[in-house]
Amino acid sequence: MAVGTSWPLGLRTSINRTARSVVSTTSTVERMMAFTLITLGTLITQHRRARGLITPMIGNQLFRAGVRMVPMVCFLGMALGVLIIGQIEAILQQVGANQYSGALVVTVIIRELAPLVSGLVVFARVGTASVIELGTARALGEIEALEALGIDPIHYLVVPRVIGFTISVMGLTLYCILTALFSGYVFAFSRGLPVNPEAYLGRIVSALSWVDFPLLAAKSGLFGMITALVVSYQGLARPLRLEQLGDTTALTVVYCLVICLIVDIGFIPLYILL
Amino acid sequence: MNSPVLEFDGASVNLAEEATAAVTGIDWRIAEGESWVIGGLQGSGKSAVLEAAAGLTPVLSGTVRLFGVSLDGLTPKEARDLRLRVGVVFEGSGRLFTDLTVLENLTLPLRYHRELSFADATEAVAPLLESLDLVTVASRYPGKIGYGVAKRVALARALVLRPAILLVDDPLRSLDSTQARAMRRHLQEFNRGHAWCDGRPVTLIVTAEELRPFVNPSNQFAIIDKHGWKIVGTREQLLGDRSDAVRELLAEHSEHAMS
Repeated sequence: MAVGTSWPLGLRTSINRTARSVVSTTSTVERMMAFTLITLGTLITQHRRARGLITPMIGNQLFRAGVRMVPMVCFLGMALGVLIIGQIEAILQQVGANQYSGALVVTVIIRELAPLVSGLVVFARVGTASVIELGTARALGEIEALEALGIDPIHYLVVPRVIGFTISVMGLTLYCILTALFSGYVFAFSRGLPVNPEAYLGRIVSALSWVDFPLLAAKSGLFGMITALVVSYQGLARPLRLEQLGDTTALTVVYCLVICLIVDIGFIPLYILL
Repeated sequence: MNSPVLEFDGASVNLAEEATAAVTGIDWRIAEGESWVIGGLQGSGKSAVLEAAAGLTPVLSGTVRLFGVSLDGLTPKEARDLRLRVGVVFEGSGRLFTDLTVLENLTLPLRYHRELSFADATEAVAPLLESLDLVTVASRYPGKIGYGVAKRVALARALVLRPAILLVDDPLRSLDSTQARAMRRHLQEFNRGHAWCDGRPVTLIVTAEELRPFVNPSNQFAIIDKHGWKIVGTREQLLGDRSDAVRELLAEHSEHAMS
Protein backbone atom coordinates (compact mmCIF):
# COMPACT_ATOMS: atom_id res chain seq x y z
CA MET A 1 0.00 0.00 0.00
CA ALA A 2 1.32 3.47 -0.83
CA VAL A 3 2.36 5.34 2.29
CA GLY A 4 -0.04 8.08 3.29
CA THR A 5 -1.71 8.68 -0.07
CA SER A 6 -4.20 10.94 1.71
CA TRP A 7 -1.41 12.92 3.38
CA PRO A 8 -0.43 16.39 2.17
CA LEU A 9 1.88 16.36 -0.84
CA GLY A 10 4.66 18.26 0.97
CA LEU A 11 4.73 15.74 3.81
CA ARG A 12 4.78 12.78 1.41
CA THR A 13 7.61 14.36 -0.54
CA SER A 14 9.61 14.92 2.64
CA ILE A 15 9.06 11.34 3.82
CA ASN A 16 10.02 9.95 0.42
CA ARG A 17 13.15 12.10 0.26
CA THR A 18 14.19 11.11 3.80
CA ALA A 19 13.58 7.43 3.07
CA ARG A 20 15.61 7.61 -0.15
CA SER A 21 18.39 9.39 1.70
CA VAL A 22 18.44 6.72 4.45
CA VAL A 23 18.50 3.89 1.89
CA SER A 24 21.24 5.60 -0.12
CA THR A 25 23.40 6.30 2.96
CA THR A 26 22.94 2.74 4.23
CA SER A 27 23.93 1.36 0.87
CA THR A 28 27.01 3.64 0.71
CA VAL A 29 28.08 2.60 4.22
CA GLU A 30 27.62 -1.05 3.26
CA ARG A 31 29.76 -0.63 0.14
CA MET A 32 32.41 1.31 2.08
CA MET A 33 32.61 -1.51 4.62
CA ALA A 34 33.00 -4.06 1.82
CA PHE A 35 35.73 -1.85 0.28
CA THR A 36 37.45 -1.66 3.68
CA LEU A 37 37.39 -5.44 4.09
CA ILE A 38 38.73 -5.98 0.56
CA THR A 39 41.52 -3.46 1.20
CA LEU A 40 42.49 -4.99 4.54
CA GLY A 41 42.41 -8.43 2.94
CA THR A 42 44.69 -7.22 0.15
CA LEU A 43 47.01 -5.54 2.65
CA ILE A 44 47.41 -8.81 4.56
CA THR A 45 47.51 -11.32 1.71
CA GLN A 46 49.70 -9.33 -0.68
CA HIS A 47 52.14 -7.73 1.73
CA ARG A 48 55.04 -9.62 0.15
CA ARG A 49 54.08 -8.86 -3.43
CA ALA A 50 56.01 -6.29 -5.53
CA ARG A 51 57.74 -4.81 -2.50
CA GLY A 52 60.31 -3.03 -4.65
CA LEU A 53 57.51 -1.07 -6.29
CA ILE A 54 55.04 -0.65 -3.42
CA THR A 55 57.51 0.29 -0.64
CA PRO A 56 58.71 3.50 -2.39
CA MET A 57 55.07 4.36 -3.05
CA ILE A 58 54.37 4.05 0.69
CA GLY A 59 57.41 6.28 1.29
CA ASN A 60 55.98 8.79 -1.16
CA GLN A 61 52.66 8.85 0.71
CA LEU A 62 54.52 9.23 4.03
CA PHE A 63 56.34 12.22 2.57
CA ARG A 64 53.15 13.79 1.18
CA ALA A 65 50.92 13.15 4.17
CA GLY A 66 53.53 13.14 6.91
CA VAL A 67 56.76 15.06 6.37
CA ARG A 68 55.23 17.85 4.30
CA MET A 69 52.46 18.37 6.85
CA VAL A 70 54.81 18.77 9.84
CA PRO A 71 55.07 22.60 9.64
CA MET A 72 51.29 22.96 9.34
CA VAL A 73 50.62 20.61 12.26
CA CYS A 74 53.28 22.27 14.39
CA PHE A 75 51.70 25.63 13.72
CA LEU A 76 48.27 24.32 14.68
CA GLY A 77 49.78 22.59 17.73
CA MET A 78 51.29 25.90 18.84
CA ALA A 79 47.97 27.65 18.31
CA LEU A 80 46.21 24.98 20.39
CA GLY A 81 48.84 25.34 23.10
CA VAL A 82 48.37 29.08 23.32
CA LEU A 83 44.60 29.04 23.00
CA ILE A 84 43.83 26.15 25.28
CA ILE A 85 46.73 25.24 27.56
CA GLY A 86 47.76 28.83 28.13
CA GLN A 87 44.21 29.82 29.04
CA ILE A 88 43.62 26.73 31.17
CA GLU A 89 46.73 27.50 33.19
CA ALA A 90 45.75 31.17 33.56
CA ILE A 91 42.16 30.48 34.60
CA LEU A 92 43.00 27.65 36.97
CA GLN A 93 45.73 29.81 38.52
CA GLN A 94 43.14 32.51 39.22
CA VAL A 95 40.77 30.13 41.00
CA GLY A 96 43.55 28.18 42.70
CA ALA A 97 42.79 24.89 40.97
CA ASN A 98 46.13 24.25 39.26
CA GLN A 99 46.06 20.61 40.23
CA TYR A 100 43.33 19.99 37.61
CA SER A 101 45.30 21.46 34.70
CA GLY A 102 46.98 18.14 33.91
CA ALA A 103 43.68 16.29 33.58
CA LEU A 104 42.23 19.04 31.39
CA VAL A 105 45.25 19.17 29.09
CA VAL A 106 45.32 15.39 28.74
CA THR A 107 41.60 15.20 27.97
CA VAL A 108 41.32 18.18 25.65
CA ILE A 109 44.65 18.21 23.84
CA ILE A 110 46.18 14.74 24.02
CA ARG A 111 43.06 12.59 23.81
CA GLU A 112 40.84 14.70 21.60
CA LEU A 113 42.18 17.67 19.67
CA ALA A 114 45.67 16.53 18.64
CA PRO A 115 44.56 13.38 16.77
CA LEU A 116 41.53 15.15 15.32
CA VAL A 117 43.51 18.17 14.11
CA SER A 118 46.26 15.95 12.64
CA GLY A 119 43.66 13.79 10.88
CA LEU A 120 41.89 16.84 9.49
CA VAL A 121 45.13 18.37 8.19
CA VAL A 122 46.01 15.17 6.34
CA PHE A 123 42.51 14.84 5.02
CA ALA A 124 42.18 18.47 3.95
CA ARG A 125 45.57 18.77 2.28
CA VAL A 126 46.31 15.29 0.96
CA GLY A 127 43.02 13.41 1.12
CA THR A 128 41.14 15.78 -1.16
CA ALA A 129 44.04 15.74 -3.64
CA SER A 130 43.91 11.94 -3.57
CA VAL A 131 40.19 11.90 -4.39
CA ILE A 132 40.92 14.00 -7.46
CA GLU A 133 43.93 11.87 -8.48
CA LEU A 134 42.09 8.59 -8.09
CA GLY A 135 38.84 9.93 -9.55
CA THR A 136 40.69 11.25 -12.59
CA ALA A 137 42.45 7.91 -13.05
CA ARG A 138 39.08 6.18 -12.85
CA ALA A 139 37.40 8.62 -15.22
CA LEU A 140 40.22 8.26 -17.77
CA GLY A 141 40.00 4.46 -17.68
CA GLU A 142 43.43 3.98 -16.08
CA ILE A 143 42.00 1.59 -13.50
CA GLU A 144 40.84 -0.78 -16.26
CA ALA A 145 44.31 -0.44 -17.79
CA LEU A 146 45.85 -1.55 -14.49
CA GLU A 147 43.47 -4.52 -14.35
CA ALA A 148 44.33 -5.41 -17.94
CA LEU A 149 47.99 -5.56 -16.90
CA GLY A 150 47.09 -7.90 -14.03
CA ILE A 151 47.88 -5.18 -11.47
CA ASP A 152 45.48 -5.07 -8.54
CA PRO A 153 44.35 -1.40 -8.25
CA ILE A 154 43.66 -1.84 -4.54
CA HIS A 155 47.19 -3.12 -3.94
CA TYR A 156 48.84 -0.55 -6.20
CA LEU A 157 46.80 2.57 -5.39
CA VAL A 158 45.00 2.08 -2.07
CA VAL A 159 47.37 0.07 0.13
CA PRO A 160 50.22 2.65 -0.05
CA ARG A 161 47.75 5.38 0.92
CA VAL A 162 46.30 3.38 3.81
CA ILE A 163 49.73 2.62 5.28
CA GLY A 164 51.11 6.11 4.51
CA PHE A 165 48.15 8.04 5.92
CA THR A 166 47.89 5.82 9.02
CA ILE A 167 51.54 6.24 10.01
CA SER A 168 51.49 9.92 9.05
CA VAL A 169 48.55 10.85 11.28
CA MET A 170 50.11 8.90 14.17
CA GLY A 171 53.39 10.79 13.77
CA LEU A 172 51.74 14.16 13.23
CA THR A 173 49.65 13.68 16.37
CA LEU A 174 52.85 13.34 18.37
CA TYR A 175 54.24 16.55 16.84
CA CYS A 176 50.96 18.32 17.54
CA ILE A 177 50.98 17.27 21.20
CA LEU A 178 54.62 18.23 21.76
CA THR A 179 54.28 21.66 20.14
CA ALA A 180 50.99 22.32 22.00
CA LEU A 181 52.57 21.44 25.36
CA PHE A 182 55.62 23.56 24.61
CA SER A 183 53.74 26.62 23.35
CA GLY A 184 51.21 26.35 26.20
CA TYR A 185 54.00 26.47 28.72
CA VAL A 186 55.77 29.35 26.94
CA PHE A 187 52.52 31.31 26.78
CA ALA A 188 51.77 30.75 30.48
CA PHE A 189 55.36 31.65 31.37
CA SER A 190 55.30 34.77 29.21
CA ARG A 191 52.18 35.97 31.02
CA GLY A 192 54.11 35.84 34.27
CA LEU A 193 52.23 32.85 35.69
CA PRO A 194 54.22 31.06 38.39
CA VAL A 195 54.48 27.79 36.48
CA ASN A 196 57.71 25.83 36.62
CA PRO A 197 58.49 23.26 33.93
CA GLU A 198 58.75 20.29 36.31
CA ALA A 199 55.39 21.01 37.94
CA TYR A 200 53.78 21.67 34.54
CA LEU A 201 54.98 18.41 33.02
CA GLY A 202 54.50 16.53 36.28
CA ARG A 203 50.79 17.40 36.38
CA ILE A 204 50.33 16.25 32.77
CA VAL A 205 52.28 13.03 33.27
CA SER A 206 50.39 12.17 36.44
CA ALA A 207 47.09 12.72 34.60
CA LEU A 208 48.12 10.27 31.89
CA SER A 209 47.34 6.61 32.37
CA TRP A 210 48.84 3.64 30.52
CA VAL A 211 45.72 3.27 28.33
CA ASP A 212 46.26 6.73 26.89
CA PHE A 213 49.23 5.53 24.85
CA PRO A 214 47.66 2.59 22.98
CA LEU A 215 44.33 4.40 22.63
CA LEU A 216 46.04 7.53 21.26
CA ALA A 217 47.96 5.41 18.75
CA ALA A 218 44.78 3.53 17.80
CA LYS A 219 42.68 6.67 17.45
CA SER A 220 45.18 8.66 15.40
CA GLY A 221 45.96 5.60 13.26
CA LEU A 222 42.25 5.02 12.68
CA PHE A 223 41.75 8.62 11.59
CA GLY A 224 44.51 8.20 9.02
CA MET A 225 43.16 4.86 7.86
CA ILE A 226 39.58 6.18 7.61
CA THR A 227 40.80 9.14 5.55
CA ALA A 228 42.69 6.86 3.15
CA LEU A 229 39.79 4.42 2.82
CA VAL A 230 37.11 7.07 2.31
CA VAL A 231 39.10 9.02 -0.29
CA SER A 232 40.04 5.81 -2.10
CA TYR A 233 36.47 4.55 -2.06
CA GLN A 234 35.11 7.83 -3.37
CA GLY A 235 37.78 8.04 -6.04
CA LEU A 236 37.87 4.44 -7.16
CA ALA A 237 34.98 2.28 -6.19
CA ARG A 238 32.39 3.54 -8.64
CA PRO A 239 32.42 4.79 -12.20
CA LEU A 240 33.10 8.52 -12.34
CA ARG A 241 33.00 11.18 -14.99
CA LEU A 242 35.42 14.11 -14.82
CA GLU A 243 32.61 16.59 -14.21
CA GLN A 244 31.57 14.64 -11.09
CA LEU A 245 34.94 15.11 -9.36
CA GLY A 246 34.01 18.39 -7.63
CA ASP A 247 30.85 16.98 -6.07
CA THR A 248 32.61 13.76 -5.14
CA THR A 249 35.38 15.66 -3.35
CA ALA A 250 32.83 17.72 -1.41
CA LEU A 251 30.95 14.55 -0.48
CA THR A 252 34.19 12.95 0.67
CA VAL A 253 34.79 15.86 3.05
CA VAL A 254 31.43 15.21 4.69
CA TYR A 255 31.91 11.42 4.91
CA CYS A 256 35.41 11.73 6.36
CA LEU A 257 34.36 14.26 8.97
CA VAL A 258 31.27 12.32 10.04
CA ILE A 259 33.03 8.95 10.23
CA CYS A 260 36.02 10.37 12.15
CA LEU A 261 33.69 12.05 14.65
CA ILE A 262 31.66 8.86 15.12
CA VAL A 263 34.87 6.91 15.74
CA ASP A 264 36.02 9.65 18.11
CA ILE A 265 32.80 9.33 20.10
CA GLY A 266 33.28 5.56 20.12
CA PHE A 267 36.51 6.03 22.07
CA ILE A 268 34.78 7.82 24.98
CA PRO A 269 33.47 4.61 26.62
CA LEU A 270 36.95 3.10 26.35
CA TYR A 271 38.50 6.03 28.19
CA ILE A 272 35.78 5.87 30.84
CA LEU A 273 35.94 2.08 31.28
CA LEU A 274 39.70 1.72 31.15
CA MET B 1 44.03 -26.24 -36.88
CA ASN B 2 45.95 -25.08 -33.82
CA SER B 3 44.33 -25.39 -30.40
CA PRO B 4 41.90 -22.56 -29.60
CA VAL B 5 43.30 -19.87 -27.34
CA LEU B 6 40.01 -17.99 -27.08
CA GLU B 7 36.45 -19.32 -27.38
CA PHE B 8 33.05 -17.65 -27.12
CA ASP B 9 30.07 -20.00 -26.78
CA GLY B 10 26.67 -18.34 -27.23
CA ALA B 11 27.96 -15.24 -25.43
CA SER B 12 26.23 -11.88 -25.13
CA VAL B 13 28.07 -8.76 -24.07
CA ASN B 14 26.87 -5.36 -22.96
CA LEU B 15 28.25 -1.84 -23.12
CA ALA B 16 29.58 -0.35 -19.89
CA GLU B 17 26.86 0.37 -17.30
CA GLU B 18 24.09 -0.92 -19.59
CA ALA B 19 22.04 -3.94 -18.69
CA THR B 20 20.88 -4.82 -22.20
CA ALA B 21 23.06 -6.79 -24.58
CA ALA B 22 25.01 -4.87 -27.22
CA VAL B 23 26.06 -8.01 -29.08
CA THR B 24 24.32 -11.36 -28.84
CA GLY B 25 24.98 -14.89 -30.02
CA ILE B 26 28.76 -14.78 -30.22
CA ASP B 27 30.09 -18.21 -31.21
CA TRP B 28 33.74 -17.83 -32.06
CA ARG B 29 36.94 -19.84 -31.82
CA ILE B 30 40.34 -18.26 -32.29
CA ALA B 31 43.30 -20.56 -32.81
CA GLU B 32 46.84 -19.81 -31.75
CA GLY B 33 48.65 -17.44 -34.11
CA GLU B 34 45.54 -16.32 -36.02
CA SER B 35 44.80 -12.73 -36.86
CA TRP B 36 41.20 -11.51 -36.64
CA VAL B 37 39.55 -8.20 -37.40
CA ILE B 38 36.19 -7.36 -35.82
CA GLY B 39 34.30 -4.82 -37.88
CA GLY B 40 31.44 -2.71 -36.61
CA LEU B 41 30.16 0.82 -36.55
CA GLN B 42 30.84 3.16 -33.66
CA GLY B 43 28.95 2.07 -30.52
CA SER B 44 28.20 -1.37 -31.95
CA GLY B 45 29.94 -3.18 -29.07
CA LYS B 46 33.37 -4.02 -30.54
CA SER B 47 35.19 -2.78 -27.44
CA ALA B 48 32.79 -4.72 -25.23
CA VAL B 49 33.68 -7.94 -27.08
CA LEU B 50 37.40 -7.22 -26.58
CA GLU B 51 36.94 -6.44 -22.88
CA ALA B 52 34.99 -9.67 -22.43
CA ALA B 53 37.74 -11.56 -24.27
CA ALA B 54 40.32 -10.09 -21.90
CA GLY B 55 38.20 -11.06 -18.89
CA LEU B 56 37.83 -7.41 -17.88
CA THR B 57 34.03 -7.49 -18.00
CA PRO B 58 31.80 -10.54 -17.53
CA VAL B 59 29.51 -11.66 -20.34
CA LEU B 60 25.75 -11.36 -19.86
CA SER B 61 25.20 -14.94 -20.96
CA GLY B 62 27.13 -17.79 -22.50
CA THR B 63 30.76 -18.71 -21.84
CA VAL B 64 34.17 -17.30 -22.65
CA ARG B 65 37.22 -19.55 -22.39
CA LEU B 66 40.80 -18.29 -22.47
CA PHE B 67 43.39 -21.00 -23.07
CA GLY B 68 40.68 -23.54 -22.37
CA VAL B 69 39.79 -22.03 -18.97
CA SER B 70 36.28 -20.64 -18.45
CA LEU B 71 36.35 -17.06 -17.18
CA ASP B 72 33.35 -17.74 -14.91
CA GLY B 73 34.08 -17.93 -11.21
CA LEU B 74 37.84 -17.56 -11.34
CA THR B 75 39.70 -16.61 -8.17
CA PRO B 76 41.50 -13.25 -8.38
CA LYS B 77 44.83 -15.07 -8.69
CA GLU B 78 43.59 -17.30 -11.52
CA ALA B 79 42.14 -14.26 -13.31
CA ARG B 80 45.42 -12.37 -12.89
CA ASP B 81 47.50 -15.29 -14.18
CA LEU B 82 45.31 -15.49 -17.29
CA ARG B 83 45.44 -11.73 -17.89
CA LEU B 84 49.22 -11.83 -17.92
CA ARG B 85 48.97 -13.86 -21.13
CA VAL B 86 46.69 -11.30 -22.79
CA GLY B 87 47.82 -7.86 -23.91
CA VAL B 88 45.18 -5.15 -24.29
CA VAL B 89 45.59 -1.90 -26.20
CA PHE B 90 42.66 0.37 -25.38
CA GLU B 91 41.16 2.73 -27.92
CA GLY B 92 42.19 6.37 -28.21
CA SER B 93 45.49 7.17 -26.52
CA GLY B 94 45.53 3.74 -24.92
CA ARG B 95 44.75 4.81 -21.36
CA LEU B 96 48.38 5.40 -20.47
CA PHE B 97 49.10 6.27 -16.85
CA THR B 98 49.31 10.04 -17.03
CA ASP B 99 51.41 10.48 -13.87
CA LEU B 100 54.13 8.12 -15.15
CA THR B 101 56.62 8.72 -17.94
CA VAL B 102 56.59 6.55 -21.06
CA LEU B 103 59.42 4.45 -19.62
CA GLU B 104 57.66 4.12 -16.25
CA ASN B 105 54.48 3.06 -18.06
CA LEU B 106 56.41 0.31 -19.83
CA THR B 107 58.41 -0.88 -16.85
CA LEU B 108 55.46 -0.94 -14.44
CA PRO B 109 54.22 -4.47 -15.35
CA LEU B 110 57.74 -5.88 -15.03
CA ARG B 111 58.34 -4.16 -11.70
CA TYR B 112 55.00 -5.41 -10.37
CA HIS B 113 54.93 -8.98 -11.66
CA ARG B 114 58.61 -9.86 -12.05
CA GLU B 115 59.72 -7.68 -9.11
CA LEU B 116 62.52 -6.13 -11.18
CA SER B 117 64.21 -2.93 -10.07
CA PHE B 118 63.59 0.12 -12.23
CA ALA B 119 67.12 -0.14 -13.69
CA ASP B 120 66.69 -3.83 -14.58
CA ALA B 121 63.20 -3.23 -16.00
CA THR B 122 64.55 -0.33 -18.07
CA GLU B 123 67.23 -2.58 -19.49
CA ALA B 124 64.67 -5.30 -20.17
CA VAL B 125 62.32 -3.06 -22.19
CA ALA B 126 65.09 -1.37 -24.21
CA PRO B 127 64.70 -3.69 -27.25
CA LEU B 128 60.95 -3.08 -27.30
CA LEU B 129 61.43 0.69 -27.11
CA GLU B 130 63.85 0.48 -29.99
CA SER B 131 61.64 -1.82 -32.01
CA LEU B 132 58.65 0.54 -31.75
CA ASP B 133 60.77 3.66 -32.20
CA LEU B 134 60.06 5.04 -28.74
CA VAL B 135 63.57 5.68 -27.45
CA THR B 136 63.39 9.44 -27.92
CA VAL B 137 60.14 9.82 -25.97
CA ALA B 138 61.00 7.45 -23.10
CA SER B 139 61.41 10.18 -20.52
CA ARG B 140 58.32 12.16 -21.54
CA TYR B 141 54.91 12.08 -19.89
CA PRO B 142 51.95 10.86 -21.97
CA GLY B 143 50.50 14.37 -22.06
CA LYS B 144 53.63 15.58 -23.85
CA ILE B 145 53.64 13.10 -26.72
CA GLY B 146 51.57 12.96 -29.88
CA TYR B 147 48.52 10.78 -30.39
CA GLY B 148 50.22 8.38 -32.79
CA VAL B 149 53.18 7.97 -30.45
CA ALA B 150 50.83 7.38 -27.51
CA LYS B 151 49.22 4.55 -29.51
CA ARG B 152 52.63 2.95 -30.00
CA VAL B 153 53.42 3.35 -26.28
CA ALA B 154 50.12 1.64 -25.46
CA LEU B 155 51.03 -1.17 -27.87
CA ALA B 156 54.46 -1.50 -26.25
CA ARG B 157 52.94 -1.61 -22.76
CA ALA B 158 50.55 -4.36 -23.83
CA LEU B 159 53.51 -6.34 -25.20
CA VAL B 160 55.86 -5.90 -22.25
CA LEU B 161 54.86 -9.18 -20.60
CA ARG B 162 55.14 -11.07 -23.93
CA PRO B 163 51.46 -12.03 -24.16
CA ALA B 164 50.12 -14.92 -26.22
CA ILE B 165 47.09 -12.87 -27.37
CA LEU B 166 47.05 -9.21 -28.30
CA LEU B 167 43.71 -7.38 -28.29
CA VAL B 168 43.86 -3.99 -29.99
CA ASP B 169 40.88 -1.65 -29.97
CA ASP B 170 40.59 0.45 -33.12
CA PRO B 171 44.35 0.83 -33.72
CA LEU B 172 44.12 3.01 -36.82
CA ARG B 173 41.52 5.52 -35.74
CA SER B 174 42.68 9.12 -36.13
CA LEU B 175 46.13 8.12 -37.38
CA ASP B 176 47.53 9.70 -40.52
CA SER B 177 48.45 7.38 -43.38
CA THR B 178 52.13 7.10 -42.38
CA GLN B 179 51.31 6.32 -38.76
CA ALA B 180 48.58 3.88 -39.82
CA ARG B 181 50.99 2.04 -42.13
CA ALA B 182 53.57 1.83 -39.33
CA MET B 183 50.97 0.56 -36.87
CA ARG B 184 49.77 -2.14 -39.31
CA ARG B 185 53.36 -3.18 -39.91
CA HIS B 186 54.07 -3.48 -36.17
CA LEU B 187 50.91 -5.53 -35.61
CA GLN B 188 51.81 -7.85 -38.49
CA GLU B 189 55.35 -8.29 -37.21
CA PHE B 190 54.16 -9.40 -33.80
CA ASN B 191 51.51 -11.64 -35.33
CA ARG B 192 54.08 -13.37 -37.54
CA GLY B 193 56.60 -13.71 -34.75
CA HIS B 194 58.82 -10.95 -33.40
CA ALA B 195 62.16 -11.28 -31.65
CA TRP B 196 60.64 -9.63 -28.55
CA CYS B 197 58.34 -12.65 -28.20
CA ASP B 198 61.16 -15.06 -29.09
CA GLY B 199 59.77 -15.41 -32.61
CA ARG B 200 56.51 -16.89 -31.31
CA PRO B 201 53.45 -15.64 -33.25
CA VAL B 202 51.13 -13.56 -31.12
CA THR B 203 47.43 -14.21 -31.73
CA LEU B 204 46.00 -10.88 -32.84
CA ILE B 205 42.48 -9.50 -32.57
CA VAL B 206 41.80 -5.94 -33.63
CA THR B 207 38.62 -3.95 -34.00
CA ALA B 208 37.94 -1.47 -36.76
CA GLU B 209 35.19 0.73 -38.11
CA GLU B 210 36.68 0.43 -41.57
CA LEU B 211 37.87 -2.97 -42.78
CA ARG B 212 39.59 -1.88 -46.00
CA PRO B 213 43.03 -1.19 -44.41
CA PHE B 214 43.04 -4.70 -42.93
CA VAL B 215 42.14 -6.58 -46.11
CA ASN B 216 45.09 -8.92 -46.53
CA PRO B 217 45.42 -12.70 -46.83
CA SER B 218 46.55 -13.30 -43.25
CA ASN B 219 43.46 -11.76 -41.61
CA GLN B 220 40.07 -13.28 -40.87
CA PHE B 221 36.99 -11.18 -40.34
CA ALA B 222 33.92 -11.02 -38.12
CA ILE B 223 31.40 -8.21 -38.00
CA ILE B 224 28.81 -6.85 -35.61
CA ASP B 225 25.62 -5.78 -37.33
CA LYS B 226 22.43 -4.72 -35.55
CA HIS B 227 23.53 -6.39 -32.27
CA GLY B 228 24.22 -9.64 -34.12
CA TRP B 229 27.54 -11.44 -34.49
CA LYS B 230 28.58 -12.74 -37.89
CA ILE B 231 31.75 -14.61 -38.81
CA VAL B 232 32.61 -13.54 -42.34
CA GLY B 233 35.82 -15.55 -42.77
CA THR B 234 38.83 -14.95 -45.00
CA ARG B 235 39.67 -11.99 -47.21
CA GLU B 236 38.06 -13.70 -50.21
CA GLN B 237 34.87 -14.37 -48.27
CA LEU B 238 34.82 -10.78 -47.04
CA LEU B 239 35.25 -9.34 -50.52
CA GLY B 240 32.63 -11.74 -51.86
CA ASP B 241 30.07 -10.83 -49.18
CA ARG B 242 27.54 -8.46 -50.71
CA SER B 243 25.62 -7.66 -47.53
CA ASP B 244 25.06 -3.99 -46.74
CA ALA B 245 26.86 -4.27 -43.43
CA VAL B 246 30.06 -5.64 -44.96
CA ARG B 247 29.97 -3.20 -47.87
CA GLU B 248 29.50 -0.31 -45.46
CA LEU B 249 32.47 -1.45 -43.35
CA LEU B 250 34.49 -1.73 -46.54
CA ALA B 251 33.41 1.82 -47.28
CA GLU B 252 31.60 0.71 -50.46
CA HIS B 253 28.31 2.44 -49.82
CA SER B 254 25.38 0.67 -51.41
CA GLU B 255 22.34 2.59 -52.58
CA HIS B 256 20.53 1.39 -49.47
CA ALA B 257 23.28 2.56 -47.18
CA MET B 258 23.53 5.87 -49.02
CA SER B 259 19.85 6.50 -48.66
